[in-house]
Amino acid sequence: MIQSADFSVEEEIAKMKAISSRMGGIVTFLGTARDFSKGHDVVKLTFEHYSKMAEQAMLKIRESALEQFSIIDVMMIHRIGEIGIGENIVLIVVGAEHRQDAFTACAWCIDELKKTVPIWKREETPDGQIWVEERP
Amino acid sequence: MPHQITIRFFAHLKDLAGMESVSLPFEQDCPLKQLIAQLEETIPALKSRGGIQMAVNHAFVNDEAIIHPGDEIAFLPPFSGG
Repeated sequence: MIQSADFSVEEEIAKMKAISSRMGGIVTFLGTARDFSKGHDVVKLTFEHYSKMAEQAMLKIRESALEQFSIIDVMMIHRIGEIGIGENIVLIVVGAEHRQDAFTACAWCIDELKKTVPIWKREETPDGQIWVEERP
Repeated sequence: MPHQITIRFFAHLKDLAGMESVSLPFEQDCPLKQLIAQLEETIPALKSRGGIQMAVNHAFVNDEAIIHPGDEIAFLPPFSGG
C-alpha cells in the first residue's frame, strides 16, 4: 500500500496478529527519515512514485514472498510526499509460525522493495535539493 | 488516447526535462529507440541515461519495444524508496 498519511506500527501489528492464531512470530521493519546522509545534513525528505507501477510492484513482492517463504502473511506500507526527520517512511510486517521464516522474508521484502518499486527520494539539505538514486 | 503518446519523467529526469509529462502526436508504430533518438534532440539531458529503465504502459521494456499510438512511456531513474 502506498499512502501519504502516516501509519501506526501497533495497529498494523495488531491487524497481522488477527489474521491467524497459528502465528508464532511477527517481524517488522520500520524505515524512518534520518537527518544525515552521505556527509550532509538532511532537513526533510520527499518521496514520489509512479503510482500504478509502484502498486503493482508491491503486490508482486507480496505474492513472491508468500510463495517462496513459509510465512502466513506479509503487509507493506510506503509513504509518499513530504516526510519530516524522524517520521515513518516504510513498514514491512511479516507473520509466520516460526521466527526464522519471518526474519528472512522481512529482509527479502525490504531489499526487493528498494530494488523493484518505482519510488524516488529527494533530500532537502541546507545547500539545496538532491534526488537520491543509488540504493543505500 | 489514439494518435498520440504520453511520455512521463520522474525524479531528476523530470527536472532535466523541465516537465513531468508530455503528450506528442503519434501516428505510426515505431521502436522505442527511434522515439528516444528523437527525444534526445529536444531533451539533450536524456542522452546521459545511466541506469535509467523504461516502461511502456506500466511494464518494463528495452529500447527494442514497439510503441503504438495511445501508449504511455515512462523514463525511470534508479529507484530510491525504502
